[in-house]
Amino acid sequence: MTPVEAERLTTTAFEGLGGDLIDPAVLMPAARPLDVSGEAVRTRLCVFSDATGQETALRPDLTLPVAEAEADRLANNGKGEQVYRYAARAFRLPSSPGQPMEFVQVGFERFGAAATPQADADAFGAVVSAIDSTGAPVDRILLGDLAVFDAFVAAIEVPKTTGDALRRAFRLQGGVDALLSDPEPKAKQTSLIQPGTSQVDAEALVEQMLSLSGAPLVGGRSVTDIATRLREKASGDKADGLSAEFKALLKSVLNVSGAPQSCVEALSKISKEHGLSGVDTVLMRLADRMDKVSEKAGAMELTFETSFGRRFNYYDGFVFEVFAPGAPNALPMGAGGRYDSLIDRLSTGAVQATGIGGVVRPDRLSAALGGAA
Amino acid sequence: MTRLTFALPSKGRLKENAAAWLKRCGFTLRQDGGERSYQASLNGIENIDVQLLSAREIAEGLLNGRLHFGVTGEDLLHDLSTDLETQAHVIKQLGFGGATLVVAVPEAWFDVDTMADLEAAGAQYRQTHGRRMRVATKYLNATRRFFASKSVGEYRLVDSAGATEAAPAAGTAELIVDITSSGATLTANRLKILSDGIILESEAALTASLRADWSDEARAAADVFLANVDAEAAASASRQLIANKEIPLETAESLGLSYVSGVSAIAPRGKASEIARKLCDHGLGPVSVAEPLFTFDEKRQSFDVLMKNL
Repeated sequence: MTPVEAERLTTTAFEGLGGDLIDPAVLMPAARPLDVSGEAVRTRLCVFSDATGQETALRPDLTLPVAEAEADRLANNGKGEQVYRYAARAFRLPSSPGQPMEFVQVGFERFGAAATPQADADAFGAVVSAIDSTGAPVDRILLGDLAVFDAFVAAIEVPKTTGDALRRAFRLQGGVDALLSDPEPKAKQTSLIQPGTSQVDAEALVEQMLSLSGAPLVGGRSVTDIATRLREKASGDKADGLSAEFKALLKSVLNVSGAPQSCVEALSKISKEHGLSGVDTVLMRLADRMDKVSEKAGAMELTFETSFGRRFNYYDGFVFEVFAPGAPNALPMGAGGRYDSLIDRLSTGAVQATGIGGVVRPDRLSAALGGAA
Repeated sequence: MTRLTFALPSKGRLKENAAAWLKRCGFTLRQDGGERSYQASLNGIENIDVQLLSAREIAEGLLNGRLHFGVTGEDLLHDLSTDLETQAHVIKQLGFGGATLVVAVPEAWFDVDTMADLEAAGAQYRQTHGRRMRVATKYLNATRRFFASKSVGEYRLVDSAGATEAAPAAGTAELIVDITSSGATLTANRLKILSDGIILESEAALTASLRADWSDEARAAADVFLANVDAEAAASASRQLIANKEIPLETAESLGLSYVSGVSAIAPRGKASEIARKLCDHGLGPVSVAEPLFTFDEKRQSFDVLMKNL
């Protein structure tokens, strides 16, 4: 099967989701994807600059420009649920030799629908049926949920700053490991302020230090910013606030992987062993979702991993990737996930909407079917 | 057949130091069209084409295989490479062109002393300002890799064309990653280096490309060239002792002298005077200490290592 044929079949398969086919702008300011996903994506981004040094990027996927279109619609008093479908080109620098820089993505993005396990399973099911419509063989399916790690962090008793640092680290490759294995206690420098200092006093102190040192306040951070961080540091920061027990707990949470139901059980067991309250809701949702996803998957093999799913910074819930036999982990035929905070971030808080999407790659489907023959 | 192509820095202290080092190795750099010319050759060795290029061009040429040998900064090699280990092989650090690639933030950031502090400040910045804090640098790849290794994600790189250290004051970036040798420029701009913000200690280095076309002709020229490089290095690390009488084997052994023949021996540079005095105590004086120009060895250390890496 040719890629063009795979594109036609999968485009038809997604039609049942409703909504219109769109082809948003190919170009966007490079700052857009870099601000949303971080510098880590720069190595994959096709960027060019004009005579003034202004950087423009070719869209690295369709999710970002489609979400921008939705944010615009909502900002202009658009209401209600909205589905967009697309069969359009995206551009990425190859992560391994031989990968194309320009490729077609066929997929959909659904905004404003209730974020339920059923909605997650439906998005997953749409991608699986689109793949099935081409007859491409599925070897394995990887599932993740970015809410699980966050829920465990929220459930353990650590300073807020430590929890925030852990959640941020989770979104970086190897971030949590680096944070947890930090050889502490580092020679902790004497804090400039005492724990419990008020914000007003801390700011006064920063002002005083500025005038004493004569150091100019450059670099876009305010006295308030600096004082706030000094207070946070004084009240315990980073992994300093993590006991050995909690470190071990978080590591075992991250290590959970395998068949979805056994993973839910393993996570529940960790929660019970440490007497945690507060993760049950997330785990119940996870169990519910995994049941519904399993129904859609039929006989296909499902693997859940707590640590899966942080490469694209806008995902914040359920994520999945579908692989053909022999395909390496970086090159799925289909993928998708939930990004309920993306619209909020793109509009800097002006509008909100839940979001979930899924996509397939006709070129990889075609390759899985033996190419053009 | 491809001739060995060797690139040297085209100007400044780096060029002067490289030429002085080559001279010690027995090769004289000749600029064919005078001081300003980029055409050059090496006297004292056959079959080497010499090019004078900017340090950045040399690093690029080594990494993509256009050059065989080059003298350039390790900082540039690290920054421009995608996979340094398969692209280039540092044969020898040359002891000049020393510089350190560092992360520096405004002195006024009293709350930021480590990369971990910077990570937290970056997250806070994004929350309060709605965008990521900007890092001005010419070293985009090295910065990205280092920040990733320190789990710092909330930042944006700004490619700095001119004076990077002025970027925070100019408002074009919040902090910088730049080369410093004494730190004076950073201090003058009221910037401070983070305690764990040293990305790389770099020197000028004789470097071989692993991607170049290493023909037999190029290999042969490399063998001759590196023999002198090794011999110069060995010579500068040692002194020749010449005694008045033959040095008995047991005396040589007791003094830790390994290379002895008749009245002459080779000693480590730092211990030469002390050993000379002791030889006199054994009644072998007067003992002269001479500085060898070259000490050739049947082992071809640098060449063999290079061939193994190719």
